[in-house]
Amino acid sequence: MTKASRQLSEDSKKVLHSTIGKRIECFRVIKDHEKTRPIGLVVVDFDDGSSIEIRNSEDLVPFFDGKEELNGFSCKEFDDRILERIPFDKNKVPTSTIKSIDLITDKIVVHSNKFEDYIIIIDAGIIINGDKHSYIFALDKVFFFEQILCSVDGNFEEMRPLGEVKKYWEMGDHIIDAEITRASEQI
Amino acid sequence: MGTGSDNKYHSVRRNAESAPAKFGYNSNSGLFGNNGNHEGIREIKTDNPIKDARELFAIIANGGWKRLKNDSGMEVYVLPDNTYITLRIHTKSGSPAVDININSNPYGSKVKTQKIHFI
Repeated sequence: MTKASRQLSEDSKKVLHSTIGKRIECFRVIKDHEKTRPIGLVVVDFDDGSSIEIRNSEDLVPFFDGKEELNGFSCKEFDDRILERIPFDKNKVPTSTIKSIDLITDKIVVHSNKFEDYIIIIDAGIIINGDKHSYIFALDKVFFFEQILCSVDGNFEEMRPLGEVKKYWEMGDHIIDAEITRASEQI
Repeated sequence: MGTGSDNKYHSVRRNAESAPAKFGYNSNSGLFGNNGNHEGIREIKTDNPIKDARELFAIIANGGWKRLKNDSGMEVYVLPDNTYITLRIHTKSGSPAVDININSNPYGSKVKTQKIHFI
């Protein structure tokens, strides 16, 4: 089986892991973006003055019989020099001390009468579990869109319903069907 | 204010159906151009990829509101029917692209979510 993958790098996982024990203060999104559906970037600010960015960007990966840009998450410490060029809005969120972080991974197996079975593995969500609240960041259902769905104490399954993801991957006359499984891993 | 200068309601269906024939919109399938390596990935062959990508974006995003414009040539508009239209002048695959991301299908619209590469 051939495979496409958009998963968090080890460096991104380390950045996320380094936030455990810190208290979330607010989210920042680029000015005028919807605070629950920003495009491309969310900055999370902590009580110790540090910040990380959670980014949804495209990368070129093998895709069926060619290459295509698939969107996926990456995380790094926020470089606030960007603020000199791009204004951000600060959005206060209910505060919590981070206890753990879960990574949600969707595995899609596309059965086709044109290609051999094709596997796509996408890290589709990051859930930051606090002592009082949970903070969810989910990819949009479409594989080429930079929108980040953000929620406090939301439901990941409602934000990125498996049925809608499946429907998208079943587009096309040569597609027989798509199987989707979702897994959660603590990082 | 959106991209258009009139005050009419612009749905993705209305905008798609107004696109010139060179963009190959098929109102039965709801897709532009020809199949890429997934039905949602489309290809339009052209002598001037950037010009045609900009032209189709202006047509499809007509009547929408700007959500994003960055210095790498990416623009995102949202139409009143909650369809998101993205123009990417620079992509990692090298060809400019217009994305249509349907969030609902009001009024029987058949337009599908798709990414259109201009090659």
